[in-house]
Amino acid sequence: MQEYRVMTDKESGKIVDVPVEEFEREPVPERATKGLRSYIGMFAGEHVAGTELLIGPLFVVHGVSAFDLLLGLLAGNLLAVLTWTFVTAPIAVKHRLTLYFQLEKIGGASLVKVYNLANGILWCCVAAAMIYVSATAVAWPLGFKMPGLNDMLPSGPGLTVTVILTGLLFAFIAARGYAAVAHFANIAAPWMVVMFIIFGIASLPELGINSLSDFWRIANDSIWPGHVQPGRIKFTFWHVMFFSWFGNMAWHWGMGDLSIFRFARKSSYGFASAAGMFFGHYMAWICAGLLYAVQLHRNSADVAITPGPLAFGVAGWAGIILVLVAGWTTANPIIYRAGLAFQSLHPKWTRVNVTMAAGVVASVVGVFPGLCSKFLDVAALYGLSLCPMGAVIFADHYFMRKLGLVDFYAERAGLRNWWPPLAAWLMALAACVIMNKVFDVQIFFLGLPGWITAGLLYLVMSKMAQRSSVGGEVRI
Amino acid sequence: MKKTLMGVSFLVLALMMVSALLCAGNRISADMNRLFLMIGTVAWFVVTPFWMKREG
Repeated sequence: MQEYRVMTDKESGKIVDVPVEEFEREPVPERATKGLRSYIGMFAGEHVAGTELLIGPLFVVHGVSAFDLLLGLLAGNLLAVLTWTFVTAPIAVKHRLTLYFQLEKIGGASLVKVYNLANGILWCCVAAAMIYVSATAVAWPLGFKMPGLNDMLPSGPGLTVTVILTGLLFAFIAARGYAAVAHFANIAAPWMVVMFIIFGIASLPELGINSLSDFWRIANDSIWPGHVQPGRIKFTFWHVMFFSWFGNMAWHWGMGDLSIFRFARKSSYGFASAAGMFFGHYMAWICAGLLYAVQLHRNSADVAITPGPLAFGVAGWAGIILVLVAGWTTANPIIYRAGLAFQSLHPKWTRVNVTMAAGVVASVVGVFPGLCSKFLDVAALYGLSLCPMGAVIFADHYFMRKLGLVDFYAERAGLRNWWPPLAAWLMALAACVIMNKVFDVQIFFLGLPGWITAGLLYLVMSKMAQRSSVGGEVRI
Repeated sequence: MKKTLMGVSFLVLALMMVSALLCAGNRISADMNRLFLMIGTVAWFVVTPFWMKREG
């Protein structure tokens, strides 16, 4: 996808899109590589988002125990860092290509279009959750009724209108002033990290924690007591570990971060993801859980997860601003990228219009609180849906030549459409549906089987297809 | 000048943390902590744009 920067034309005064030099269709040259500090800052900033305020409380709702949560998060986030470092970054540094261009070389331009369509739809769903998070920070001070924990439909016209107006505003900004908000997000990032830590610290006295020795007892008795809310499955260590490992599956196993790490001088920069996993996810999810525990401590019947009131309860108006900003700064690039993904399907559509359309879709989806109360499932589904393409890239990189096959086949054969990658993707997803529906394997555990299945299917089908192919000349 | 402003920004974040710690230690009230957090938030967003320049 071509990225753009919105600038004002000096002569006409009009706002114009200027393509950013992102080396979309060529390897990143040595002069454009970036140092380790860029990666640490980027990961630390990107992984403190509005949705952390949903995930932390949802662990409590799913009845996880304190031991399982703290150890599961440690193991899962560590595995995520190792996956970025030893799976994603080495391929990125070797080829220095975007995910999209690498997919095009393997499966042709048609494959990239299908991938972009799936990606755009899933991004709209994630953006919808972020819009909802921010909207709760606006609607709650206005006195609008908030939804209950298991409500699937909007709680009333007040919140519905607030979500739609918030989403449209985000979409308008994403379409017209992406660069300005990206700059604002950079400014806000260190403050957001500190605010999440403050959420945790300021929650402690109300929960009766006055010393370290109090923490473990109250963590087990009051914060993560292990009570499952009706209609939810019980979370164990394995659920927490696999969720925190696969929460970003689309980016590491799914190779989405090839586009980021192609600028890295060394593949060891993958370790920079620890800044996001531990300062972001590990710390933010625990602190958000503490916020929810405070709410339950005040009123055990109030099990709703509405980030605005949660944050206000502990941090006052600064908490409300945090919820608004955390949702806004992360929804903005996602709506922008969803717009670019849809635009790639039909380049004659203008980016502004397509971004607005993506924002409208996200706003309408965000109206339904069920999306947010099931956000753990949504996040797992997002990773699961896209990760098979990462397996195809991995298999193409490491195994094709060893098996006597041709890598980057679509490019070498001059094909716009090479079917094995797409078939492997769809068949792997079908296998995951069967594992889920027939064998009751929960969605949180399907990522790795789906990824391995896609890789194996791609190799087998490539062997069959390349042997029988009578296509054009293949340049190795 | 840039280093001074950067120092002010991070001092603000540090003071916000101190406020939360004092609240956790029952040295200041929760309401007082909320007020300090709000003042710190405003100060951060007023000062930081002066030294954190736009990339590119």
